[in-house]
Amino acid sequence: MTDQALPDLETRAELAKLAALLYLPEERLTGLRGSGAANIRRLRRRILETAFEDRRERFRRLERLTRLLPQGMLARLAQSAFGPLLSGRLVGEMNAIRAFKIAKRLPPGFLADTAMHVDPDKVRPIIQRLPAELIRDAALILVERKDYITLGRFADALSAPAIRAVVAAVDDDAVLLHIAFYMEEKSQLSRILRMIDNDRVARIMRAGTEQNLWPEALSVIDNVDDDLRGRLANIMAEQDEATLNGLVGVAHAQNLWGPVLRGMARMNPKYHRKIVNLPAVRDETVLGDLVNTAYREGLLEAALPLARPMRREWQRVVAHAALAQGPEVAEAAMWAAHNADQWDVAIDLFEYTDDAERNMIARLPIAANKHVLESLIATAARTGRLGLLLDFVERMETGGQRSAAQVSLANDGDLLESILDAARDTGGWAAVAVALSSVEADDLGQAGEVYRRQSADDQAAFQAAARDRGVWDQLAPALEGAAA
Amino acid sequence: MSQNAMQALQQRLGAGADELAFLEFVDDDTLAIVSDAAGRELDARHDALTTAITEGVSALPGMLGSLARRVLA
Repeated sequence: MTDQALPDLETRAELAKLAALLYLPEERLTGLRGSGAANIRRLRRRILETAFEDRRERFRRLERLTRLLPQGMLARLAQSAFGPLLSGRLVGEMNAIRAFKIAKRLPPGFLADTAMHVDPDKVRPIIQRLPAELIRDAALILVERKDYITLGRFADALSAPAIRAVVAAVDDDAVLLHIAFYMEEKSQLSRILRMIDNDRVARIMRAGTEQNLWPEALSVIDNVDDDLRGRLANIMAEQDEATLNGLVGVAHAQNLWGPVLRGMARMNPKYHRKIVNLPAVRDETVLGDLVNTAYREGLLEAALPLARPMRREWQRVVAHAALAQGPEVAEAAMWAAHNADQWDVAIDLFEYTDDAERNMIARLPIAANKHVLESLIATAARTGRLGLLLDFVERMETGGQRSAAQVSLANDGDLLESILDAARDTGGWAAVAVALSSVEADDLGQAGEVYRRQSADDQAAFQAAARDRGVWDQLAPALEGAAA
Repeated sequence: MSQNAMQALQQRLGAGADELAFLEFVDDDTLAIVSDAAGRELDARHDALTTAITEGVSALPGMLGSLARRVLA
C-alpha cells in the first residue's frame, strides 16, 4: 500500500530533527509533512537561534572576562565550574583559535556533552582544527548514545583526517548511514565520501540494503555529485534480485521513486535490464506510481529510456499504467520522448495501447505539433513502424492530420512514399487519404507526383478508401489532375 | 485559535510574518502543537541556562566568581 502522504527524504530528515528538538514524537508533526524541508529547517533554525540569543550579551561579556585567564585554567574551569551548557554558550562567543586551544585540552566525554549546546555555525572553524583522535573519541560517545542528529550537525565540518578516523572507528555501517541522513549540509556528502576508501563506501551502501535502511541509503545517493551517484547506484544495483525487489516495495510504499529514478539515470545502463524486469516492477499500481512521480518531479526524460530493456509483458503493463494517469501525464510523457529523442521507446509502448488509449494520445495537443510530428514520423519510418503511426493519424483531430500530412510532403514527398508503403502493408489507406484531404489543394502538388508513381493496384486501393471516407472528390483534382 | 498560535510563535521567535508564512497552510492542531512545544522548549532552555549560570558562578573560585556573577547577572 502506497503512503502518498510520506514526504520526500529531506523533509523526513527535517521533521525528525524538529521532533527531536521539541521532544515530540514525529507522529505529532504529520501536519507539517507538506511544508517542505526548507521551511521546516527554517523553523528549527529559528527556534535554535532564539535559544542561542538568550542572554547572549552577557556571555559576550563573560567571554571578555575569561580572556584574562590562562587557557589551561579555563579548560579546567569549563569542566569543574561552567559545565557543558555554559561552556557551549561561551565557546560560541570565542575567537576560533583561542577556542580551539582550549577545546583540545578537554576530554572527549565533555566535548560530546557540550556538542548539543553549541551553535554549529559558530564552532565550525574550531571543529575543523581539533585533533582527529579527539573528534573520533567524542563521536564514539555520541554514537553510543545513538545521537545521530547531533553527529549529523557537525559531520560536514570535520577535517579529512577526522572523517577517516571516525569512519575507521565506527564499525557499524548503518550508523554512518544514519549520520549521513541527518547531516545538516548534505552538499558536503560528496566531499566526505571521497575521503573514504571505495570498499568501505560499498560496505556502507550495502548496509542500507541489508538492514532495511533504503531511505537512508537513497538519501545519500540523492545528495552526491552525479559521478558519485552513478558509482553508489551501481553498488546498489549489484544486489541480488530479492534485495532489489525489496527496494521496489519500499520505493512504492514510501514514495521514493524520485531518488530511485535519479540514481538509475546515473548508474551503468547494463543494470537497467535487471532492475526494470524485477517481478515487483510488473505491477500496474507500482508502475503508475513510478510514472506519476516521474511526472511530478520532472523525471520523465530519465524514466522513459528504462522502458527500452523491459520485457514485452512489462512494456505492456507500463504503457497501460502510464496512460491510466490521464492526458496531462501522457502529454508530458510525449514531450519527454520528444525532448530526449526517445520516440523509438515511445513507439514500442504505443504498440500495446488499446483503442481508448490511442484515441487519447492522438488527440493530445502535442499530436498536432508539426516539429514533434516531424521527429515522430521520421523515427517511425526509420524503425519500420509507420503502419502503427497511421492508426494514430486516423484518430487525430484535423489539425494533427494536417500537420502529419504536411510533414509527409516535405523533402519531395520521400516520407509520403514510405507512408504509402506502410499503408499497403497495413491497409492504412484511409488514414493517408483523410490526412491529405486536410491540406489545402494548392499544397498537394507533391502528393500528386508521389501518387502517380504508385502502382495501379495501390492507386485503386487508395481511391476506394478515399471514396469510403468521402474525400476522394476533394483529392482527385490534385492527385490525378496533373496526369490528365 | 490558529491565529493566536501563529502570533504566539512569531512573537516568541521574533520572526517576521513572511518567515513563517508556510505555517498558515498547516492545520490548527499541528500549529498549536508546534507553537506550544517551541515555547516549552525555549522556556526549558531558559530555565536550564539560569540554573547552569547559578551553579557555574557559585563553583568559580573567589574573585572570578564575583566578577562572573556581575557579568552574568
